[in-house]
Amino acid sequence: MTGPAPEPQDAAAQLAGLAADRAVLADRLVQPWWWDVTFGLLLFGFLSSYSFHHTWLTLAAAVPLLGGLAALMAVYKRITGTWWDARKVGPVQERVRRAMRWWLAGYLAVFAIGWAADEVFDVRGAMVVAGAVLGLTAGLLSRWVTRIYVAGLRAGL
Amino acid sequence: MTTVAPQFDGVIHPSPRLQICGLLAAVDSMEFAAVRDTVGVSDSVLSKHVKQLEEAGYVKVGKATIASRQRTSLSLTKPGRAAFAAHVAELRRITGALGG
Repeated sequence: MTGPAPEPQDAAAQLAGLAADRAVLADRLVQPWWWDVTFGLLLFGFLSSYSFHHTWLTLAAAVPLLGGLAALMAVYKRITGTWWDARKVGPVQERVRRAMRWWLAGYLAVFAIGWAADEVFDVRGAMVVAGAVLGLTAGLLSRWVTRIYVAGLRAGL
Repeated sequence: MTTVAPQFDGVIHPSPRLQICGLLAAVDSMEFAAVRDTVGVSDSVLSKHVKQLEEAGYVKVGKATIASRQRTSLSLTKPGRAAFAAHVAELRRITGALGG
């Protein structure tokens, strides 16, 4: 099953072909805007439930969150025919991992502040605000990751 | 950035298989139909090449039934990713001769 190694011109043509295929792939990977909006709203809805100060309500709110995330994943696969985790595959893995670490640190900080304000200091609606901030940033982060991932694919191998 | 040792791979080398690996290397998984459309071959031709890649241990074929329709997804295995990266490194090494 081994053949002769290609000539330099053939190898160059094959590399160019691979780059062209990646550019075509990049075109199909971008999710519609409502995908990121829905993602952000799901997180917002779940985090806002903390404001009701009922554990059972927060647990119940996890059901639409998890169901919604599974549905979003299925819809993305259906639309694009692909699934990818930019932290593990593709051209921008380290950049995305670094951004995710920063976002997670910010997420925990905003969550802690919102939760403390709502639960400890009884600032009603603090978790709604925290949920809005985190939902918005999650949606924007999702968009940004796709943008740099696609740009990386278009930039070639 | 990790340096990959260049190594020509006769299984990956033929054009449709190189294309298939190139697409799968950029994602976790890709549906059979999406690969077929991008590579521009028929179902039977793609199946033949996927089978050869699968036998080499480079590609994993997954099947799932969604809304009563069977969907086939393809993904590169870890050895497949390594072999593809080494093959691309070899192509780059060969093209290095072009520039002198």
